[in-house]
Amino acid sequence: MLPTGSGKSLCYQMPSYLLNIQVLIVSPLLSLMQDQVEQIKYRGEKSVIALNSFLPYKEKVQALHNLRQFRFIFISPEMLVLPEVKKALASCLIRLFVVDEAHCISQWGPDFRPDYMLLGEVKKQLGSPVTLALTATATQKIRSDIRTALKLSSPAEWVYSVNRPNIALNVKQIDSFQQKIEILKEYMRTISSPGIVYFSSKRLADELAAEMHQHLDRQIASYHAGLDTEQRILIQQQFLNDQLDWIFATSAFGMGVNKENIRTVIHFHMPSSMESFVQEIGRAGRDGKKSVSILLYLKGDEKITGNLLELENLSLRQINEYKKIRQETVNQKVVEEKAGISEIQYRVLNYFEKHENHKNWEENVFRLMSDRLRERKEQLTQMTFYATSPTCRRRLVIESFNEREFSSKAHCCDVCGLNLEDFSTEDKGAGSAAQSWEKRLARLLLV
Amino acid sequence: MNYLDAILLMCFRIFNGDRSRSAIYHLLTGKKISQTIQDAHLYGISNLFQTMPAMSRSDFDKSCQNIIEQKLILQKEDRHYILTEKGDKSASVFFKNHPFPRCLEGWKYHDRAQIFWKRLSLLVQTLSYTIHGESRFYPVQRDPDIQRWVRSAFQELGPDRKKKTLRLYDELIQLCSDSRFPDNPDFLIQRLTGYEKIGWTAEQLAAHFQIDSAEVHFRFLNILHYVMAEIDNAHKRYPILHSMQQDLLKKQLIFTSSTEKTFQLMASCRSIPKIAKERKLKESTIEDHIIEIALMSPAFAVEEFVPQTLQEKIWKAASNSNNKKMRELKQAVPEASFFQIRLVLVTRGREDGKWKKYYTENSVLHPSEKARKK
Ligand SMILES: [Zn+2]
Repeated sequence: MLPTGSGKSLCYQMPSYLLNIQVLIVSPLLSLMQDQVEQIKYRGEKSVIALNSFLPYKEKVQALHNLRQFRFIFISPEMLVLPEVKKALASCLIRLFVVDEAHCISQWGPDFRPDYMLLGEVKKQLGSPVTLALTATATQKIRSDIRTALKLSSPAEWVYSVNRPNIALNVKQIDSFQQKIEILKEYMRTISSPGIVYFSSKRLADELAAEMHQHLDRQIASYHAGLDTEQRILIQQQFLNDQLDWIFATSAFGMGVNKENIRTVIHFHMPSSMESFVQEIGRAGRDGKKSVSILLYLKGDEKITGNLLELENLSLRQINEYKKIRQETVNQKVVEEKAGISEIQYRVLNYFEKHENHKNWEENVFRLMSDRLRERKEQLTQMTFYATSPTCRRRLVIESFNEREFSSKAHCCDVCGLNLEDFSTEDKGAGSAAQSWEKRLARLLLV
Repeated sequence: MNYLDAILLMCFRIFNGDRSRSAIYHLLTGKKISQTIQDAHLYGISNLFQTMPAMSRSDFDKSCQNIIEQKLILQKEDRHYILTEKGDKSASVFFKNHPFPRCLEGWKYHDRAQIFWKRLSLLVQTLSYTIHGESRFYPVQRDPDIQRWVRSAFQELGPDRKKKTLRLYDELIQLCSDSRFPDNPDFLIQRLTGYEKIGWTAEQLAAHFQIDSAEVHFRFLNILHYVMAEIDNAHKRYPILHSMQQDLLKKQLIFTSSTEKTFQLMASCRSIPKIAKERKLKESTIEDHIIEIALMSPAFAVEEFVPQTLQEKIWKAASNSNNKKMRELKQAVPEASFFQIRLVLVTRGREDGKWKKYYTENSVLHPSEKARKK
């Protein structure tokens, strides 16, 4: 467990060169995987491939045929369990098996990415190579989930503190939704940029970004999974290139973005757990310079997230229905419709159907799901506590990761005493730098 | 009313209640089924084919709902709509204030234009970094085919890179400064990425010009399709730009696999009943295949299926009534089969673009000069 930006990728890239071995890296998010591949290519390495559902068929066949020749193979968990992929991997000599963002095993395991739970099996099929699980944030509980899922017995663990002394922690108590928007608007002009504002709603991120971009003298753009690839790449590059002051994003943004000088991370909505929160604020201040995290907390914010969790949960009736309907049809759409479940819920049940052979299958699955819901509610409570308790916020962060000691700089948190003006800026921001098309073209192609 | 609404009004105007609104959705998203392809040509609206490939059904329905509520279109029968007088007026007023995408050629250019744009943007980025002495950058296009093409094009330039970059610059300046260029070149040039300056997204252009993003989308496509036509016609003036899509011209005709089999059989046999028997398919299916082939291959000889005189008769009947309803045409030309009527309408329709006609007939529409100065 290493903080963001401290060289996690070095941990698998360097051994590959020193020992001249082939490395398989399982990566949870498509955009993250692409960013990682681009970064490796950027430094001149060509022997790298990303296997995911977006790879065109022709390319995929070709890549699988030549899989042995790649030094770094990035793969999504879904692809990893396909027979043709397994076959191609069998022809390789994988000496290092890497699971990136390994906290997803727990955080997203049973809920979103059932295939992540099968990684232990896959590892065995690969001949149990040396395994490296990497994450920036994982509580003790999550670390134990990772050990279990990957079937690791007494692994060596390197756990670095989650504390980032250069990031000041601030919670701003808000009275109304309208005030939240007003305050955000004010921060856009006064607080140091570049920065990221996280939203849990893609629509809100879009709308507010458009409105504030128009009315403030700041360059603001939104970023989420709904954008097409070309626009996503442009926004990301603009941000890296300091053409943007602020990005309004959903949690889809940030994992693979190597930007040193992010000064501020603002949460418009409360994240659902301390791990997500720490992960997201960790994108600030990689250069070690003074940075700040601001959480905008409106009393009751946690209820919205809580309700969503309830909605995602499956009732015993739904589980029974699923089982019954599955015996009649294997058509996913039909099962979803008749049992009244979402695509994600279908995937979860489908996973349990294949891998859980309990006598009372329905009750057992229901119990597992309920446990999971309770866990997530506890995480939410912990996050709410962070926002509302009059305790040093840094202490709460490190204690939720079972750490005790911590150092802090002059700027600890708003409870210990913090003046947001210390993080303000006189800077005018990136500026739009609009040029005529003739000038623009000349700047692109003439020296 | 926004830009998408206005485009939809144009579609309803041209279909004039003959087709359900789903047909319009399929046309804009470019669903490659024979009904959609035939409609596009039959009604002279292939210009819009596949111009909004990413539009979701719900966005489409929302826009339809909007123009229904404003009484711009009226339900004629189930899910079939006609333009109201108010709708007709609104559309022409709208296009007096917003550029009409008169250069669109969706059916002809969509695929080619997409690839051309991807290659152009990546090549410009590559050359821009190179002439500034920087060989490392994050490519704006991640499609492996595009990257491969640009890599080999770049290598072919060899030591001449600097000179060629200058020539590409000249070509782009010449292209955009031409008096026939249909719009403000910002919609093309500001999207390009290069050394120390990343290009704008469609949203950012929309915010800058204070227009909606569908308008940006259509004006960008309109420019791209104009460019494709321009480098087709005047390839001597644009050697580099032309070379960037030359290989796509030679691309083999791609049919759906079933049509492909029919196409192969047609090499030795022109009898529909025989082909149908050979393939164990209905004759009407073979007829659909033949229409698809006729649309895809410019060299297709219609007279092998419809004698020249009959063609003229059908076409005359269609032009007279200004109505393309099959049943009525069949009554006017009883000796022709439905297949023959469809084949003539579809192949003749190619040159009968209602799209451009609308523009020329409404010459008061937003003229290109005005758009350029805006
Ligand atoms: Zn403190």
